[in-house]
Amino acid sequence: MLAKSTAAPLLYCLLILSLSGCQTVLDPYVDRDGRGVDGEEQRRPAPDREVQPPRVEPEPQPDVQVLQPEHRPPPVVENRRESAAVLALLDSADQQRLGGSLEGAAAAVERALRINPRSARAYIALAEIRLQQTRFVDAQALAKKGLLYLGERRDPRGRVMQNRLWELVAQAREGSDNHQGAAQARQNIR
Amino acid sequence: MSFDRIRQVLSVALKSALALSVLAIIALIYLDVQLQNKFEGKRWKIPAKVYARPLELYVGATMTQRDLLDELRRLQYRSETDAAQPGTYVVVGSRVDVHTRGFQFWDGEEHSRQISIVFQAGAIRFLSERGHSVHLVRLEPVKIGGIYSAEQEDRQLVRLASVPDELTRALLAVEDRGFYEHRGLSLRGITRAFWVNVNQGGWVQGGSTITQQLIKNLYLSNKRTLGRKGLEAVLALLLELHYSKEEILEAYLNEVYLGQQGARAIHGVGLASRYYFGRPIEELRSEQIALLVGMIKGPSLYNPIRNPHQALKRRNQVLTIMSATDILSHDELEALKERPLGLVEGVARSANLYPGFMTLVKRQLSKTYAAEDLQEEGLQIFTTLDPHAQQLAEQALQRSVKALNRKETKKSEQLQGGFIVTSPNNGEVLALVGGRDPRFDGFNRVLDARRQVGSIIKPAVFLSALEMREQYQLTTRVNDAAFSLVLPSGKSWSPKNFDRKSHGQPMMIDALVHSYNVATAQLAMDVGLDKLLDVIRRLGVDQALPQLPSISLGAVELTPFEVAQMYQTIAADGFTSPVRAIREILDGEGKPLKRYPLKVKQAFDPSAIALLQYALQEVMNRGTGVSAYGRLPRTLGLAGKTGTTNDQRDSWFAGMGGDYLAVAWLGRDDNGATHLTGSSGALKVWTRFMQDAKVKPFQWTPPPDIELAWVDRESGHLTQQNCPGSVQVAIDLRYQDLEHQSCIRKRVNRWLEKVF
Repeated sequence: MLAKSTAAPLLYCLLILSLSGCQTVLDPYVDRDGRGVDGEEQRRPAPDREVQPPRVEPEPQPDVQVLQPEHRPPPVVENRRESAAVLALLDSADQQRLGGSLEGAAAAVERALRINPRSARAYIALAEIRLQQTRFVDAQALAKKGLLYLGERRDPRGRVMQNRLWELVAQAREGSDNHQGAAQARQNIR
Repeated sequence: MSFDRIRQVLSVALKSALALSVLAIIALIYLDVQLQNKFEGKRWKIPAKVYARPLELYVGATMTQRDLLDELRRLQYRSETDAAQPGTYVVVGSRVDVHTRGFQFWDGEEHSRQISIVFQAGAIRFLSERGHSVHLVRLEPVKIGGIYSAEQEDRQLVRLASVPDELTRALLAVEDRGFYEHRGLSLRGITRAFWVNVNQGGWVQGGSTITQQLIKNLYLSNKRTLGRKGLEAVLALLLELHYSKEEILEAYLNEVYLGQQGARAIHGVGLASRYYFGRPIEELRSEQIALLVGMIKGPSLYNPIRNPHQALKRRNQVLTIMSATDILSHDELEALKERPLGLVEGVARSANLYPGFMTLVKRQLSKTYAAEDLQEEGLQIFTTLDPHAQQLAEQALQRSVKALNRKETKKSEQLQGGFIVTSPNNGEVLALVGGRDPRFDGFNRVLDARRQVGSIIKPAVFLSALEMREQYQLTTRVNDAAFSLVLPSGKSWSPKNFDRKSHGQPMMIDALVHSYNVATAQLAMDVGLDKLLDVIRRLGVDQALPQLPSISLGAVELTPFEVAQMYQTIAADGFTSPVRAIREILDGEGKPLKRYPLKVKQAFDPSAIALLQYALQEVMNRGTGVSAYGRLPRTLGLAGKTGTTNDQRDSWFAGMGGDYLAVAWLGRDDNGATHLTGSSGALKVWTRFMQDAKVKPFQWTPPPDIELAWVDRESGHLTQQNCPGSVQVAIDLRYQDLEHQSCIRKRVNRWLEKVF
């Protein structure tokens, strides 16, 4: 039953992702409390323009103290194609799952994560495996970690992954009989 | 003597003989059962083999040609002109062709493959197998040690099928020519041995059959008494009765004693081949086979490392026998006699290269396995060690300590250290150096040196505040004015800054960046001690800490390993993963036994962690860690924290880049003063490692509510980038006071100040 309910979004997700590689996303992580309760979104109105993070080149500031830092580089955003090696490993993980070897599949995903520790797709795969093993606590933590690595904002492929991750969080919570938490997680699916 | 008397004697004799025969038969049956049990059951104690991480090759992997060649050297691959055999490679310009050996991994077999790897700009550019591009190739892992029993017997089992035909033929030619004909004992063998010995003018052949030798090695002591010889003969006959020639030969090949390395006994041709020649048995050359076979007669006399001349003489004797028995042609014989012994370089032979890391492996294993399982069951243990990172870590610690030790310092007062490197995202230990002598198998400072941590604990204080962002942001002012507190014990506590000055009311970020003690202690008291202890616990310190306010300044003793666990949680965006050294274990038959999966547990809100990470980046940018950028480019955006304790007894640094998290500690074993701060000591070790390891940029990817903004240092209000006195700070948009300060008035003021 579980497999059935997860299969369709997964296929959809894989289909879209296989069409093109850019790993990315838009909206975010809205969980406020670190210990698992999802807060509703409480974003303030966007601050005015000048507050936007400056992404410009450094400029000298002679009148400030010596320790004034150089401009920090803009945050590095994962915006590259998932490497072929990672895709091959995730593929192999899928094969092993189909063959019933869930730990073998997990081992393959962990290899992928060593190559790209910020692969949201790998976190999706690992969370799915743990969910299938009814290891709900692990599944939830993995899915929530995956939410951190969705990459650039405002990208439809990222949204697909984000929705999938929140769905996994919800299912993991349902597995632990936390139905309210599951409903809260699903509110993040758009 | 009367007839009756004679009959009486005869009858007694007969009865005694009968009784004796019955006893003998019972003894024989007993021996037979024992023999079979022993042979069937645990024939050998096989120590667990411990492996490093396998090297993954894929397009885009950050790796130089040199890195790959280093790994191939560790795996004892040979450079040959065509790389036609497994275990060989050839370098062609920027390309390396490798014929891999293949390996049975936890998750399946990696076959032997002929691959080409092209390097460009410090990464793998192309990867192909016989002309077709491939995604991923895994080399076999380097064996880094074993777990031995008290007797320290080590062996690597081989199947008869994988033993070169040449080797078994040479063995039988030298040790037992009638092996396939006799039934355990061979009169002809003894006579022939006698004649051969006479002809060769010395003892070249022994008279015992392979079967007898096996019995002797397996079940009997070394004493050569007549009684033992008899027992050996009986057991040899029994063994032949129950087992095929192939089974006996295979057992012999695995049992035979072939030398000693310190306390470790080398048993079997499989291990001997690895130990002396650095290659699997399938890859042995004829002259190496001859040497191995020759050594059986006197493993210590003919030990090629200690007695190379004797060994060479003996080898050539065996080559001659091989030629006489048509295993080699005469021409081959002459050429082979000229060859050197073909031993592998010394380093690769060491049994335990990484004692510090192995201690961690054994400790983590001992939670699940009994010592006997590890020493006898032939387990294969796959660890997380990265030999390349380990080498760089050892160098970084050794060289820094050497440079920092004053020449006149007495040995007992010399600087010591510990250094651990992990993978920031999953907690795998990549390198561990337990002291300035990395080969010393003793006190492990990473695991066992409990030392005061000093300021290295401060991120926990700031994190406990940042968890309450309604009240605390990085821009929040904290009080750096000296204060005194009377503790429940009656003592008073008055924290001091390193420079003994007060810095007014700095922003939180500046208090951390410059490691102000008073402001930190004040902040910790405002937030609450319980809250701080809870944060330290959630960061992964699994130890009851004293309820003292001085904890906020690091008046608590932790090991470098525990500190690594704390920073692991910060590096992994608030998700704790246990720092671990083992990935998986295969049983004696190569079947999956246990896996140590990636575990993640959310311990903190990623927004709070992102703010802390930003502050730790600023420590490097403009605070106590800035000297790292004397050697490293600022674009790396590294994050870390120094720690110095009272009287400069301990020098700490913990910090992270994109692919390495490392914790360095320097100090004296007698806890004496060192004259080092965190920056002048441990940071040097850390920086040297990060530079040598070509660390990747730390990726600060905050959740969307966290953004960078320019803040006026005096007022704390948001302002513009070019505004005088503004500083860039990460803020949480949900809680930050977004009041904006015009820059113009400030500029005018400044201008006026300048003019007048």
